[in-house]
Amino acid sequence: MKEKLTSLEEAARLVKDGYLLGLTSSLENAPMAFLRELVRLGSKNLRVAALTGGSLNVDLLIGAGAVAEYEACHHSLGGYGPAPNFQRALRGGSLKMKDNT
Amino acid sequence: MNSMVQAGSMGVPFVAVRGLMGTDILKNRPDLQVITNPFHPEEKVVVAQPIRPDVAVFHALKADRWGNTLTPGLRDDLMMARAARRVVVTAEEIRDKELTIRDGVDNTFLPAIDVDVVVHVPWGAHPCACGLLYNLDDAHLREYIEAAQEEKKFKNYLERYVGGVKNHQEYLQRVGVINPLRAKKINV
Repeated sequence: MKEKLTSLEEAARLVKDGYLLGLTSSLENAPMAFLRELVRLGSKNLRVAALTGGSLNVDLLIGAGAVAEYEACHHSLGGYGPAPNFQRALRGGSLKMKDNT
Repeated sequence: MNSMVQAGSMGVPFVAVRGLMGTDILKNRPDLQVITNPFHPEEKVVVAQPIRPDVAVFHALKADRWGNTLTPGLRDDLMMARAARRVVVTAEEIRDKELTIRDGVDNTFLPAIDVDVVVHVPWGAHPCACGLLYNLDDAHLREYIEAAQEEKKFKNYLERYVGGVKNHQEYLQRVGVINPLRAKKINV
């Protein structure tokens, strides 16, 4: 079998601007270090599909201005209430949301 | 949503979806179409395109060097991994010994064939929780939410915790998770 170990930065570079990013996490086991690395690399215009919904994971990317389009069934910070960056971006029209109930 | 990702994982060209007929979602989703059921022409049915992410990312409890991975809990990780063209796994622990499906038990096992890249990232889910290894960082989450109320304040948050630190190691020092290795080992 092929060894697949690499650095966080190299892994984050696999995500090009405009790519569709798939996530299944919520406030549980979100790949936050990876997503912060994406922000650090200046990722732009990402499309995100979050199964079934998103949480802090996508909210961070939205707050960093990295997301152009977002498809999910729901988005919140769970017991912590609404996700502020998501709500502001949606109301401000800077985020295209595809409701996928 | 599940069925669209499932369609992506199966490589089929589209999937029929129940439950959307007559809803406003159809008015706002031109990419969803209503067709005649070819088997029962009296019925209309919504069809959707598969979701095939360019990259899917998972944070794992552990992975081996070849990509076999355990992600916490039972969820749709395997389906999403199969739908995606590339799969990145960040893991709390890297094993030199091959993980097998028997190591899975109550977790999700992603086989090496579905994983392209593995990165060792202790505390990689912070401030979110990771299985039974660590819980949410409540204080940090509150700090995040407070900052996210306003664009300007969130810029400061990003500067402090993302742009203003070189890497994940520096981030951990800044949030005060001083020893990343204090994450307890778990038995699976």
